[in-house]
Amino acid sequence: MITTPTPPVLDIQHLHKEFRLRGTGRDRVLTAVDEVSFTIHAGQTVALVGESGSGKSTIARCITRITEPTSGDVLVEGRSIIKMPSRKLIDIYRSLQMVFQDPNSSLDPRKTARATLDEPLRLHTSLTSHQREQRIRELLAEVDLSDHLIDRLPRQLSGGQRQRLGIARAMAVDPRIILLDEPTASLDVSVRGQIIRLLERLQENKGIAYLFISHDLGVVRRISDRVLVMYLGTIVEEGPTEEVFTHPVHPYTQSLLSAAPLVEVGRRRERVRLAGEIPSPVDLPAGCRLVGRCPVATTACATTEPSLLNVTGSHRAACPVALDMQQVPST
Amino acid sequence: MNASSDVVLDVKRLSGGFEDTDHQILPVLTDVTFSIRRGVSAAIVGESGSGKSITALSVLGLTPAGFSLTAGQIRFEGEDLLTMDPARRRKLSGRGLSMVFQDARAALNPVFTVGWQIADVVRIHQDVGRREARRRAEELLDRVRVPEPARRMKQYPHEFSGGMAQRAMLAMALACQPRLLILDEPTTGLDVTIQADILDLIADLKAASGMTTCLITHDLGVVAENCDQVVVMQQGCVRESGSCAQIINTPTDPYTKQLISDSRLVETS
Repeated sequence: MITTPTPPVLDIQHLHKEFRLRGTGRDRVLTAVDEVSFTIHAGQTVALVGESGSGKSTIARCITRITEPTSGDVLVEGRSIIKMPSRKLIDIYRSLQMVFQDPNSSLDPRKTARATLDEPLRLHTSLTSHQREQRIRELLAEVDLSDHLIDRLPRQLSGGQRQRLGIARAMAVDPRIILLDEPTASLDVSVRGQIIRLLERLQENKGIAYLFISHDLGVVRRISDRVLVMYLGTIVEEGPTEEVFTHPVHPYTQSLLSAAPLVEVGRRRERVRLAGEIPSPVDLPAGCRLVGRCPVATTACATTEPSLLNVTGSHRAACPVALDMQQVPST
Repeated sequence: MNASSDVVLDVKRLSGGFEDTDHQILPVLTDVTFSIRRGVSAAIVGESGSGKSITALSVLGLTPAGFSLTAGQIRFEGEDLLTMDPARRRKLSGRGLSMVFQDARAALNPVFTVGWQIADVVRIHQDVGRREARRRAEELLDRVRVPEPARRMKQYPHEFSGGMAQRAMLAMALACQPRLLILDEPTTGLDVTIQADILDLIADLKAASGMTTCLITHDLGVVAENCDQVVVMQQGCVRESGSCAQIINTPTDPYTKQLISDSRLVETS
């Protein structure tokens, strides 16, 4: 990445989110996100991947303060938003927007496409109604929705059209970064391709950064510059996308990548298998979270929680055992 | 007509649709023709609205209200299911052919234990007592690799994860050793590692029992890695069918080509 004195568009520092579960006896603690840090620079796409329960959506919700984090800090263009009173957050939402997974529930069913796009413009700009109307038509054109759809309600649009409208709404205020939470999960593959191409084009034209949350590894490989792999609330591996996909180091990453099916006949790859299923994030034990499922775990793994260690350049993995094994052939 | 014994399922010129308020049939399936050979792992692939699920439901005789078939034949081991005596067809469902649905947790009854539900299926199809049915249910759970089957028997569906619930559904479908197992999006909504585990399990169960499987899916990656015969559907029509290698490597139909490149996220040039 180019090193410039300008702060990153998004800077996440030691983000932590716990939920208290009330019950009989003492309260139990569900750790959804555990001390996660990362940055996103202008025009960059960073992907968060991981299975359900890994905490990736909670991170997006904490960044927008839909959910209040327990501790840690979120800086948008250098400004901390965690302590910010909520009435000031509106300024932040000019730079930071979000596109949700399910356009059916994130669009107001009683608002036409025009009204949906008009709202952010009224809130964030001082455009006249005539200018806003012009901008709405521009936005529709940008996401390849034709003019005649302007008075349609969400239920009168197809799934792909609804997701385009969701993207247009996020684009309306010219944000610096958009958080995309599984934007293609509910779409057919042909529509998925169109949405990916649209996101790529918008990024090229406007230099927007994306935080792309997805479990679709094919899409992640195609769209992102960097990838962060999450497991039970922590980042277990991070690095440039191609580097992580071709040389995964952490046993969890290896297992995840080797499980994703490829559209190639007879290429059933050798799978890296983990024992059992993802455990509950309630009352996490000490040590590495993968202990008990991991094929390379040692006794030390059960007591010390591994931190992210350098593999090469900006590629890091939280597994000292796997890193040692990597070094063996080279010595 | 190919009535040779190596064809398990033969669907011929199947057409049907939903009846609208003016008693007009809105076509959903048009001239759907394909056959599945014994012992293969077949797949019906298509996007939403392609008619792949309604085709499978037609085979099982479980089509929703308002839907009716207007033409065609569905032959299972040479017998036409559509003209067959309903009692005989009911008997075939479950024993001859069985089905696993997409959302396993929704398909299980929330107010009964999982063990009770599997034992119930065993009792319906096999002449055994309660105790024997329970024993067989536990054995089935073990076969689909549910850890601690004895404890899991007594649990309710909400205590099962999505992957475990799908295993329980497989156990239920296998209770009567069907010769054809139709799986409608069995791994959609599951995480990729769980998906891979379930697909491996299905392949192992198939190898052990010699049954024929037909996977209904939208995911060409799953098809390429797990199936040997493919039917591609779009808007109620079969676009192309053939061996998996042939369809994936040398598709001739433009829609199939587009679907493959979209799935691989590469541009067609």
